[in-house]
Amino acid sequence: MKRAVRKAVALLLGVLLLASCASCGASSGDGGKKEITYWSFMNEGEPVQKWMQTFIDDYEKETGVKINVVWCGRDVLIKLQSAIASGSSEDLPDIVDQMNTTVLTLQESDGLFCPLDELMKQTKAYGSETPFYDIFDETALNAGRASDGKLYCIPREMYTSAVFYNVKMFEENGVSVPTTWDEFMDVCEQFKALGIAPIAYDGIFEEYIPWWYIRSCERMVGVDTLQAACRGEVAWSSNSRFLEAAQDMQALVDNGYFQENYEGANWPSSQIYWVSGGAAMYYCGTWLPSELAESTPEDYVMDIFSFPAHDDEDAPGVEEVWGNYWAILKDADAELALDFINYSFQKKYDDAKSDMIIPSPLKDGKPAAGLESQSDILANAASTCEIYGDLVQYGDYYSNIFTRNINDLMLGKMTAEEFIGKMDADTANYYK
Amino acid sequence: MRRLKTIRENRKTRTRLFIFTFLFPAFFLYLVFFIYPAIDAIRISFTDWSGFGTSASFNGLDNYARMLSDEVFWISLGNSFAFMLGGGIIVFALALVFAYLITNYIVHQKFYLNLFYFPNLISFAALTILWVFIFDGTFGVLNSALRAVGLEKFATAWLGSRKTGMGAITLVGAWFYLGFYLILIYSAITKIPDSLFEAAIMDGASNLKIFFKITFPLIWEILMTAVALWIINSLKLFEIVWGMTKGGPSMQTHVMGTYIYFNAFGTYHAFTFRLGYASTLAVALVIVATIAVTAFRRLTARETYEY
Repeated sequence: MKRAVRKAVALLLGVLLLASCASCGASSGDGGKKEITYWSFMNEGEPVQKWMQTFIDDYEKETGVKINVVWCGRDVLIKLQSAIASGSSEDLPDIVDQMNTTVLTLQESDGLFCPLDELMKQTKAYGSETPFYDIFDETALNAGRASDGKLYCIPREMYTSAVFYNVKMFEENGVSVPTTWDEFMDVCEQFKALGIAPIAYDGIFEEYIPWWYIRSCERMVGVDTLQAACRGEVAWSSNSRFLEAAQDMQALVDNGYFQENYEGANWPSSQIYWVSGGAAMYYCGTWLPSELAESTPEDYVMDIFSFPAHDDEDAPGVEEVWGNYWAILKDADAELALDFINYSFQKKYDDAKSDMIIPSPLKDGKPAAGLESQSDILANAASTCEIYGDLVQYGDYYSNIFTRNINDLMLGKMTAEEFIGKMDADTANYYK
Repeated sequence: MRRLKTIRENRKTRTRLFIFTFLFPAFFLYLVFFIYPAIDAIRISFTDWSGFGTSASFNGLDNYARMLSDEVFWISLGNSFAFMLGGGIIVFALALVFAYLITNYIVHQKFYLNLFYFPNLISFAALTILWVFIFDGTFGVLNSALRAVGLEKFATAWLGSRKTGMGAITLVGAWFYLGFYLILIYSAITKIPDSLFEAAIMDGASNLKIFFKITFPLIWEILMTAVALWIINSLKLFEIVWGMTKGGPSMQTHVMGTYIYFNAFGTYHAFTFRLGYASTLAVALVIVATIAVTAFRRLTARETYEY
């Protein structure tokens, strides 16, 4: 009896083990039905996720193609890394979406994605005879190109960065919108004299910390030279304008133009502080109105102006353009994946996105309310570059050396001169 | 006789086989999900692997040399130890005090234990958002409260420097973990036979004297195990720091856990993807944790009291 029980238990365990192994290798498909696996940058419940769900449902209904969507959130590419590291191609998605700079950084280092120029030119936009490729704003499309000149990702939106300001606060205090750096400093002084923090700034939010200095350098030195300095090919002290840009930053700190205790301000407190009327200006990407939609008082009026330039700079200058982009993995059925992406750019979906105050990357996209000035800023730009001057491609250097030292400069822990000296020393040491 | 021996041996073999059958699934999972990755991490620590693809070049001791000259590694290690010591002192001092109070003076003991354990039921993400809004320099509840009671000179950017940032993280960590260690100590106290306390009371000993002369020595073994557990858990600290500061400002509040993650992946807008170097840091953390726990166990080893 005992032996029979033992045998039965052992058999049961064996069966359980086999069953678990079998389920690991089971296919999720059912015969010939087409499927697309999409790993999204969005989290479930976000407004953009809800918008995406509408066209995913419609696409499934209309085409019979099953979309296996995983709402991964901001760490989608980290999850992709884990999946690739596990070595199982079955677990990999067909489509991912992320900020264009990060997608392209991965393309440069690991060549994960499929080139799209030809395919997009051969494909007609949904419900139109126009090639899918031609419906996009050229600037937005070009921001999806890697250094080999090929397009690896498709823009879902088209952001730029700008100084956001409280229109009523400016008007009520008789302050004019600045166009030059000197005027900007005057504006800051006026608000300071009124007892209002001129600028809301996040002292410990790594993503926004270096943005002011980067924009200043993009304008004063140029993106190519800035990137060359980050690669260690040009000394930070070799171009006096790096120092001038740092001195501008030091002036903002020394003059007390940031809100009190900004050193310990973490996202999203500074932007909420700004939209609550605590500060006059906030520098950010044009995703801000959408991000702040629920926190913005009904009577609050915001507008944007381009990063102020020095009088002796070439004007108009360079502006940043980026967004979250779709990318198709190399091993995917590219035509099918593109068909799904193409579907999402139909006018009804794109307009609905613009209604969420997300600027469209399409040539005839509906303007996002409150961001009308973005078109003017970009129309006046002499050239465009990617967000943060595309310095995030130097991920390790960018975080460990560049952002860290700018953080110290912006916290008033070092002077502009000390900053340049430290950048030279740390960069030389990094590339040694 | 010989036949009897054979029967015994067969029975022994069957028993072993039976034991092995039961152990195999757990051992197999342990092997695949713990032993193999742990050994593989050591191998990866000698490479420059990004984490993508299969190409990983062996780079000898480069990662280890880099680690020793990496300023942020030393900051992270220092912060991990600061959290371990500072947080440990707060957690165990409070856990002992509260255990003493609860066992001696409180009627609804379970209610208070649950109250202290409550933070463990909240997700780290929600918990850190809550604390960021308390400590935030601009919008923080703490600064607002200080201003409200006329102590504005103490209002500061709490998360804006290594000293105050790590102080805030340590307090949050202590608040979070206190309940767990309190329950461990409380359980140890309740296991002591009542007869020992009754005898002490008969002899006229005060509550405090009973605690130090009877309770404390008898819970010593469990207390030291709890401290060893704290050493390991505190060195692995990640969620609270990542949620509150992401290691900022200027990498000043990184601990080993966050610095390993930061090197493996970066942040979502600026990837670092250096799994090779991150594995080196992880190996270093295992060595440090092993040394710390071993040293602690040796230093605190003493005769066990039987009761």
